[in-house]
Amino acid sequence: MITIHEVTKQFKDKKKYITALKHVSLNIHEGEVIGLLGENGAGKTTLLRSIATLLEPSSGTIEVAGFNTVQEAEDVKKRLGVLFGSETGLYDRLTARENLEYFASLYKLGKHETKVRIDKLAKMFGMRDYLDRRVGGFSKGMRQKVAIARTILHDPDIILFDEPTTGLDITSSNVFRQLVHQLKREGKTIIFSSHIVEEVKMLCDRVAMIHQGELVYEGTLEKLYEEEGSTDLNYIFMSKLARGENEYA
Amino acid sequence: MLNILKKELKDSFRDQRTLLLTVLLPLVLMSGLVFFNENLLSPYEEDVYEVAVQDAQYPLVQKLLADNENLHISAVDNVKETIEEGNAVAGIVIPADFEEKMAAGATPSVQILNDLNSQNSTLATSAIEASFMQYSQRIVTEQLAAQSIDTAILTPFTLEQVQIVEGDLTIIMLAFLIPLMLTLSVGLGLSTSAADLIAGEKERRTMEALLMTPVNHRSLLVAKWLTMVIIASMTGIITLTIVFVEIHFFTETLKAGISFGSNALPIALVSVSVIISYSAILASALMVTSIFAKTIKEAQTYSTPITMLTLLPSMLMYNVGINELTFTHFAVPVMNIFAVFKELFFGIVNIEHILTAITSNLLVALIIFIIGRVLFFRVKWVLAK
Repeated sequence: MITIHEVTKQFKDKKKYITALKHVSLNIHEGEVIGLLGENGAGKTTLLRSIATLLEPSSGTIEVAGFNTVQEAEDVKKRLGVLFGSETGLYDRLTARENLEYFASLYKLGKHETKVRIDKLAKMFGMRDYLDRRVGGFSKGMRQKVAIARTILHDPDIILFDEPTTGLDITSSNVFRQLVHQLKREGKTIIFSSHIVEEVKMLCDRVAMIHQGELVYEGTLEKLYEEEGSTDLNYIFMSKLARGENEYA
Repeated sequence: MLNILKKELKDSFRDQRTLLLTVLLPLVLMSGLVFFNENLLSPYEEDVYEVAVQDAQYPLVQKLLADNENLHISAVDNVKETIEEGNAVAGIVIPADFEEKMAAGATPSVQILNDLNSQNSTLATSAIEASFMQYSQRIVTEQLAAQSIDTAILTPFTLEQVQIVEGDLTIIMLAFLIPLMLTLSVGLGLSTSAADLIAGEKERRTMEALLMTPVNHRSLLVAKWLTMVIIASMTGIITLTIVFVEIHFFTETLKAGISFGSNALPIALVSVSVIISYSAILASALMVTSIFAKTIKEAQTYSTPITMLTLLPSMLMYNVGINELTFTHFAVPVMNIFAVFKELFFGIVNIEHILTAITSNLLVALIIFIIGRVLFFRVKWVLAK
């Protein structure tokens, strides 16, 4: 479903280049939930932004559902739903419904289809009571639900979540986890980045660990437990990073 | 693109700051301007100024200035102190033997005490001078008559001013102040929305969500630019409407000074066209600053000097007479707003000048827009860090 091949991404900062991703290769299969683990600044957001067509790789290629993210960006965008952060992408002065209708129009959904999708999502997330209220007055949890609804409004096959539970309380985080389970049941392909190891353990079929722009592990959790001789993912993550430090120093 | 435009307008006009700056600010600014000028330009015959004179000289001064209805003479102990305490706007110090000295052929001196920082004091001084000059001429005429000399000797020739361009001080003042306030209002009215439309999207991280949709960057940018042009034009049109409604219904001097007659409709249409072309320049410029900025605050920091810069041409245009306007005045963007409005206030509708101004403004707006478009297509400028 997603093929990342030898992707390197460099940013120019004044006169020097900073390498955010170094020769990353990764295959993500249809219907799979994969967790991107890494510290802040490891390169998770850069990788997700590259998949989402927002960034162009300096070298290497990314294909989403057979479409190249650089040459066929529009085709990629139609198939993707992306949420960067826990509650972003909303306009405070518009109602929840107006926010959703606006994005539906950008995805070129018809009026009837938009109404059906919004009604379905409002029911799914329990948003009916506040669907016609302005988002500015919403709690974090309410905003998160609207943001997620916006992300999956056009029924994308592939969904990217970048640190979706950062700053959320336990209840809101649970809402998100339930949603991921539901989307997984619907056969969606999901990539989400997090530095919360327990969350990844709960939701993912596979994990990919990134450290200083390099992919230091990629595989199933079972394989990882077996290789490391432990089921403590937090411990495994820290020891992987420590080994990565030595290996790539 | 229409959906984006509709959403941007709805979002902008739900922002109380936009309403405050597009409607309330012009109302306050223009009301202040209209009523200040009405007061300034109204004939001052109706005003009466308090003039202090020492007790002993009161009868003499009262006699000399009796004909001047703008002056009220008060007898006081100390003239200087009375003015300093604000109880009179001017004072007269005159010798007790003033008339005797004149009769004896001497030249007695009269002092007018005043405060030239005060407009009332200046006007009172002029009124006192006029009365004394009149008195002086009367004395000279009487003395010449006593010596059987024809008073025509005093006027070997006459000097006459002939105004070849119609218009008075009222029009000159308004032709300068209205475009000045107009450019200021449009700039202030647009700055908040412009900052919010792009830098605000980056700050709230809604820009990423937008760029993730299949809508192309060009449509997005054009819709945002059009929103800015509409908001700026609305501010300008509201500003001008307020001015003319207030002048028409609440003033006498300004209303008498401005009379467009049958030219009213073409002048209104030209004004709107010029405002739109100016709005296009400002929208392009503030769009670029909004793309540069990472936050709303940063965008507003950039937009303030740009708005102030647009006021600069007004200084260059202040002393330029209507018959001194050249092609350059109409070809230089922003300066041409002042040139066109100057002509309009004098009742001149010169199509060539108007088209030069509008074309020049739109051309510059397009060039700045292209710069903005280049920046907007670079990820570095549109994504939050």
